[in-house]
Amino acid sequence: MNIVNKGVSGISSISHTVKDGTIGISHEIGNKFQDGLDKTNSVKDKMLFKKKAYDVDDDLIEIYESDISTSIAGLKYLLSQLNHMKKSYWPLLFKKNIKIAERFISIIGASSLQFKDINQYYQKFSQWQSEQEVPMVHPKERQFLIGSVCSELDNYLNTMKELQDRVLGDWTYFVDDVVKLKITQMNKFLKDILKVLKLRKRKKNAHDKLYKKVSKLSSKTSPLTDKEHIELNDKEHKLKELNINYNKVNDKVKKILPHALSFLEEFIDSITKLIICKQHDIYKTIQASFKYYSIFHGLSTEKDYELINESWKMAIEPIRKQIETSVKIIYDKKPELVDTEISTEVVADSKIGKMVHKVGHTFDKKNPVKPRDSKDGIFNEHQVADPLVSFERYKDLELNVPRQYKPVMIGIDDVVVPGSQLNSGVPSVIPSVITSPVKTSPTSPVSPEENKETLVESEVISSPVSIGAVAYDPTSPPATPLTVSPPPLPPRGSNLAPPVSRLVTTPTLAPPLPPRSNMALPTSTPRSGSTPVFSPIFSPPPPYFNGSTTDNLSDSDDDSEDASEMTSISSATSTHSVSSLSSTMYDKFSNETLDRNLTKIYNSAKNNITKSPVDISTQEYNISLADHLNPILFEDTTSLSYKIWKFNEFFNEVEKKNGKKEKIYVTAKHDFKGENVGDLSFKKNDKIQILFDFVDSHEESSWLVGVRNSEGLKRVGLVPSTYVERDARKD
Amino acid sequence: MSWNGLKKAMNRAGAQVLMKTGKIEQSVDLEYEFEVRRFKMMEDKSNKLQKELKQYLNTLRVISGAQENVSEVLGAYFGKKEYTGEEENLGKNKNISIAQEYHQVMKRINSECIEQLEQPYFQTVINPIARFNSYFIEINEAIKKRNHKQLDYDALRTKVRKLEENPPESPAVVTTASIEEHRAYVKKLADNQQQLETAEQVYENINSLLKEELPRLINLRIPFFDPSFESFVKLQLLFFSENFKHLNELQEKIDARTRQDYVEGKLETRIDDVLVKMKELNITGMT
Repeated sequence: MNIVNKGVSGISSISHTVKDGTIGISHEIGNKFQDGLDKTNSVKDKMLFKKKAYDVDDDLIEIYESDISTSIAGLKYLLSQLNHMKKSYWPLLFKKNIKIAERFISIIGASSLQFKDINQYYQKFSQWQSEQEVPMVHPKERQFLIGSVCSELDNYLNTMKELQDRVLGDWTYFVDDVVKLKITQMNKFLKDILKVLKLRKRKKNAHDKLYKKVSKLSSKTSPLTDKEHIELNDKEHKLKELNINYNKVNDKVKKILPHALSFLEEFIDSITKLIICKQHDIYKTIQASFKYYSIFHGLSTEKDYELINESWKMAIEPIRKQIETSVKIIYDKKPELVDTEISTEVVADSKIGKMVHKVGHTFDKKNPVKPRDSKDGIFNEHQVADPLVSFERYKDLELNVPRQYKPVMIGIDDVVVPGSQLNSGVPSVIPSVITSPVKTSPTSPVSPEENKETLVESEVISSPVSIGAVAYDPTSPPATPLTVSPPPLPPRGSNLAPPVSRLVTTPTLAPPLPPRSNMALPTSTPRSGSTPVFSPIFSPPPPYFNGSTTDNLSDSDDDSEDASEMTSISSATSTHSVSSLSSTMYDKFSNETLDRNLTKIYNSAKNNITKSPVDISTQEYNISLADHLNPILFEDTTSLSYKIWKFNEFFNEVEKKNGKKEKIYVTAKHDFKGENVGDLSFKKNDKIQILFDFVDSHEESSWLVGVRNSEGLKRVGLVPSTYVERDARKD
Repeated sequence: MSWNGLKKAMNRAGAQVLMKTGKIEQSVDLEYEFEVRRFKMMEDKSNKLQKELKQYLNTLRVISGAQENVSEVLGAYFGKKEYTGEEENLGKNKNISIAQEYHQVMKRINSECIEQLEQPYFQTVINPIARFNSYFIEINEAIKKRNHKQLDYDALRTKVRKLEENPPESPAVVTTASIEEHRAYVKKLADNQQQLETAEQVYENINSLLKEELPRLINLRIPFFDPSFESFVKLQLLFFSENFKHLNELQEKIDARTRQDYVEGKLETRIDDVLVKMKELNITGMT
């Protein structure tokens, strides 16, 4: 990063300047002039000035780069640890355990303490005995059989061997065939990112070099010669190309990084869970094995170490006394060795250290993961260039502004219903969804609502899985529903739910009931001809048939093109034959394509979430909602929670006003899953009481406010009129 | 060593050489030999067992350490957060990722569980066996003493036999000198016989003592080792149960869906999905 800055040397941020060449250059002249002045100053000052070339992208990307490198190291380390566990730690544990069991057997087992040439000895003894007058007990017969202990030991040995096979097999499979593959793959991706970052750096350097030359030429005080003019033009031309090139890489990097990191987070999270589960499994196996063995052999399964100590003491004390009496009889010179209780102390052994060292040479290797933000880690909410650091480095108040990249979730506003897309005629709403790095100023810190927002969104979006898939593809043609598809939703006033959009713009403390005229939901006329004509025999099929079942020519064309774009991104030369390679690349990686792909990826990720995580902050938040706190609480009036809050107020108002009126009921003709804030979900044949109709005249499609009683819970929400039978009975 | 002791040692060294060269006939006690060889066997194995028991404790330490390392790396991705006990009471899993939680748990297993295991493990498994092994020192002393006595006895026995076999020739003419010589011989023989008797007594005493006590000692090893083995098993059970308990608590913090997925093998697929998404980012597509 700093290298880049040094290379820039007095040139201010290119990404900003080059967009407007003249401004950039004049700015540059100013800088040069100042540079000239600075030369007279001390070297130290000059260094400071040089560093002034500030590019917020550089700062942020530097953070990303270091975090990604540290992630690679961390994953490698993780893998090596798991590998060591596979290759030596677990095997050693079992090897020792089995060895101990074997030793116990060899000491107290049935045929224990047989020495090497015992048979030879037996022969000798028999010979010798035959010469003796007094008959003696042959030592062979004195071999005691210790049945129970013996089978206990043998059983233990077998149990351990079995356990060894299972655990080692399990773990080996887990490490070799599961974790290793995944981590290697992830590391490859991360390394690719680093490569791209390097490429960006290279491009930037090349660009900056040329830029410097151009500015040098243009800042000449003497009039330029013709030759110099040509040179300047030539170079400026080249510079533009380089700039385009650089911006492409830069844009891509900026877009990809937040996503890559969020995927990495998901990856790490899942790997962690996987490892925990595996470890849990293994300990369960081991524990079960020991438990079974203990119960089988009638070993009491104490729950406390103290109890184990006690029962051991009970068993061993009398034996110890007997043995020590024997020893004393045999040799009584060192009474300090006997006649005391067995020590309860932990004897520190100098060999332990050695052994640990021998067993795990990487044992005390330090954890390599050192995130830039050591407190919050790599996956903190946002990647921020530290304002203080920026300020300190560049000595400019202007630069004392935190910036962040944050992957933008698909907002609720961006869920485009096919129907409304038809009406609006806007071909693509999506590319603006994932905007290039969101930059927040310090005045709007990340409020808790942001978390909340994403939470709710994930819930909302996850339900209409397939609709999303269609809607998010901007190139997909207007979905012309066949007879089997569910009716299109009535148009919403804007992409926002209308009442909200209105309310949002005028956040007042107590919003009055919106006047009816304002509340008119359908701002455009309902679609002509395509109003739901379907036989009720067919139940609404999954909406994703929309795209694929149409025989619309343009549809299939678009589809295939879309597909080819998807696949050809990696091999950037196919399909379109554009003259220069760079322009091909530019086409391919125009923001739109990239965004669309990101959107797709993102949605597929979001749609997997079916349960909302329980977060304490959410609960706390709800409490504050219930307390009717000042709505100023919602700093971000576009947040979902704000909308929900507004809707609640609105519905309450409607209900109150509606109390005296007669009750109108409608019957649902189709299932409807709410798509936006305030939508009421219902199932076919549900009875819904209509509280309020935004449009007095009974137009064909509009939105109603309905109440549904389900399982004793009263739910209020917006109901698309196309989904319900209007002329149901009236009470 | 006293002067007496030194003299004894010198004598024995001489006798040892003579015995090696076959000048002194060694007495054999097969019964004793049997017990001693078994005893030596036991000593050898018991010493090795002690060593291995210590190593086993270390393997447990190593595996816990490695697990802590793993969890530490994973936790570090989410940053370091120091928790005081107070915070723990307020909201234990507030804003703490599962990886960090994992690290906390493994840290506890690595320190607490191992520490808890250590004391009883030493008390009931390692120390008793160490004590048992310390008996060997004493008994080996006794065996050494017995061997010395045996050597003394054997040396004397040979000496006496030689004396008996080679009495001074009966002189043709009995002179005072010859009478003196004979008297001296008789006295020497009697002295040696006397010594032999004492030596035999001493030797027999210690020999029979060992013959009697060694088998008893060897037999006592069974009730002595058995409780240690029992607690060896029990301690392991308790140790792994404690580990499992902690892990179980941790695992319960993972959402039910993930646990279900793990059981069904879908968790791996989920990781693969992430990798696919990563691939779709098409990182190197530019170059």
